[in-house]
Amino acid sequence: MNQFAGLDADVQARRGLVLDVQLRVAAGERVALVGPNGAGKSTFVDSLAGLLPLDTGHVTLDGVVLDDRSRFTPSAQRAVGVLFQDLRLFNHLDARDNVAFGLRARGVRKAHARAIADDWLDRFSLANRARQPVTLLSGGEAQRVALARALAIEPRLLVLDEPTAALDVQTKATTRRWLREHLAGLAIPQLLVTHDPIEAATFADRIAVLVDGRVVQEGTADELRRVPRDRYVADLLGGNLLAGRKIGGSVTLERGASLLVASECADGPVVVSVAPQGLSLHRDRPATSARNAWSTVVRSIADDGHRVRVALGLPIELVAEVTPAARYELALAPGTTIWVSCKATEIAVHPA
Amino acid sequence: MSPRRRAPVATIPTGVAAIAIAASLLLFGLPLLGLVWRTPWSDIGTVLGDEASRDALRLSLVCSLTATAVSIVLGLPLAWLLAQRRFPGRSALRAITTLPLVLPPVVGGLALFFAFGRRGLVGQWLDRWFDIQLPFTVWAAILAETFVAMPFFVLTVEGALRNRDGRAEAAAATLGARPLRVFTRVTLPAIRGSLYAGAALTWARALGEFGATITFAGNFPGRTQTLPLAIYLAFQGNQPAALVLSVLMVVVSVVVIVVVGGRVLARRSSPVGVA
Repeated sequence: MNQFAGLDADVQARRGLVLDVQLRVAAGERVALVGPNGAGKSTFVDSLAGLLPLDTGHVTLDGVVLDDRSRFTPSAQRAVGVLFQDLRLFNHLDARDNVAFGLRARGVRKAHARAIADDWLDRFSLANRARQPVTLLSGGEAQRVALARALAIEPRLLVLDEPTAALDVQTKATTRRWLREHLAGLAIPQLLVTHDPIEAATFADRIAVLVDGRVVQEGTADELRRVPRDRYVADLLGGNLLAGRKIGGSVTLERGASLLVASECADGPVVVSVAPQGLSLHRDRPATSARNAWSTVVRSIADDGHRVRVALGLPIELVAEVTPAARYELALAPGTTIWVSCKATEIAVHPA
Repeated sequence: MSPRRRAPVATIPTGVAAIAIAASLLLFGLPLLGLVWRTPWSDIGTVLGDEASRDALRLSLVCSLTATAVSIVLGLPLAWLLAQRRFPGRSALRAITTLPLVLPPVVGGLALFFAFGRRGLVGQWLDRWFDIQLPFTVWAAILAETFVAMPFFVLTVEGALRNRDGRAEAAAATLGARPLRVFTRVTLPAIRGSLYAGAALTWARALGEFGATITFAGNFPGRTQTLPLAIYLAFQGNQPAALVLSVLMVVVSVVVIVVVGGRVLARRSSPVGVA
C-alpha cells in the first residue's frame, strides 16, 4: 500500500499519442506540467480526472488507488477538482448554482449548498454576481466561478488546465497573481498544466517538462535553466525569468539590482525574461553600447560539448549560454570573475 | 457570444426565390384558402355547440396529449440509449424505432391489432389473464397515436444528444454527478430547445393521426372518434360540419406553431448549450 500523501501517478494511456508519465505531487505542493500543444497534457488531465481509463500503471491519491489494472474509480467518486481551460460552466444555471452543483451532487441540501456557494463567491469577490447567469460574466469572473465550483467539493487534488490560455494579456497577469494568492496555503496537491513557461515558472515549486507523451526533465525552474537536459527544455524553460517592478525605463529586481529595459509594458509588477544567448560575457569591462553591464562571479558551468551554460552569481542570478570556444577563450571556471553585458532590447518585459 | 452573421438575401437567384414562393403559396396556401373560402361561417356555433364535435375535440386533445406524454417518458430513455457511441444491436433498435415513420399508418394499425388485439400475440394473454381488451377503446387510440408519433420525439432528441461534445458532462462528472444526474441536470437543460421541438412534432403528428387509429381503435363517437375521424365521417354526409371542424384543427395547429414553434426557433438562433 502506497501511503504517499498527495498524487502519485504512473500513467500509460493512449489517445492518439502514447502517454507514459510518472509524476508525484505532494500535498500542498505546486507542480507545473509544461509542454507544447499535442504533448499529451489533456490526456494526462483526463486520466487523473477519471475521464480516461489507464492502459497500465496507476493513479493514487493520498494512498488510495483510483485506477490501476484491477480497479477504476469513476470520475464522480474521485474528488479531483479540475479548472478546465474552457471552464465548462453550466449556462442554464446562475453563478451560485454552478458553484453549488458539486455539493448538490454529493447530497447536500439545496439551501445549505447555496449558502456554501455564496461563501465561495464572497471569498472570490463575486458576491454581487451570485444570481447572474454565467453567460453574462466577464472572462475573469467566469474563471473565478469555475475555480470556486472546483474547490467547493473540497477536492483531494486540484488540476488547473491552461488557466490563462483563453485570456487577454492584461487579464492573464491579473489572473495569475490572483490564482497564486488564493491557492496559497491550500493543503492539497496542485497541478498546473500549461504550455506557457512563464506561467509555470511563476506558479510552481517544481516543473515537469512533457514532450511527446513523456516527461523529459523535472526540477525547479532554476535547475532546468542551469542544466537543461535537452534542446527542447533549454528553448522552452532555459530563459532567465526575474520578478521585479518597472518604473519608466528601468526594472528594479527583487534583490535590489536594476536593469535598463526598452519596453512598452505598463509600469508596475513585471517579470523580465532574458534569453541566455542574449547575455555577453567579457574578461574586462566591455566597451559596448549595451545599456546593462556589471561584473559577477561564475557559480557553475554545464557543458554538453555543444553549448555551455554558465550560471552567474549576484547581483543578478542569470544563466548565460556561450560556445565551447568562448568558454576556452574566457577561461571560464567556477569562481572566475567576469563582466556581463546585455542590451536593453534583449530584455522582454511581461506584466506580472 | 458574437451574434450570428446573416447570409445576405441577395445570394439567392431571383428565379429560385420565385419557385420557392410560388410552390409554398400554391401547394400550402391555396388549399387553406379553399378551406376558408367554403367554410360556412354562420354554422360555426351550431357545429361547435354539437355534442359530437365537442366529444371529438376533447378526445383528440386527451389522446394526443397523453400520447405525447407517453412518448416523452418512454422516448427519452430510448433516445439516450440510441445516442450512445455503440453497442450491439443499436442499428436494429434504430431501424425498429424509425419504422413507424415510413410505415403506412393503416399497416401500423393492423400490426397493433395483431399484437394487442384479443387474438393478438400479447393481447390474448392480456384478455385471458387480466380481462383487458385494448382494441376499440380510448387506450387503443392513445396506443395508436403513440406508435405513429413517438419516433418524431426519439429521433429529434437523439440528434440533439449526438451533437453534444460531452465536455460539460465531463465537468459535471468531476464534480461528483453520476450519469443519471449528469443527464437530467446538464444534458437535458442544454438540449431543451430540441425537447420542445420534438414534443411539438410528436403532438402534431398524434393530433392528426387517422389511419392507425381507425384500424386499431375503430370509430366510436365519444370513445375513439378523434377529430380527424369525425371530419372524415362528416365529409361523407354533412359537409359544412367537416369544414368547420377542419378549420378548428387548422386554428389549433397554428396556435401550436406560433406558441411552441416560435419559442423553439428563438432558442435555436441563440446558441443553447455550454460555452
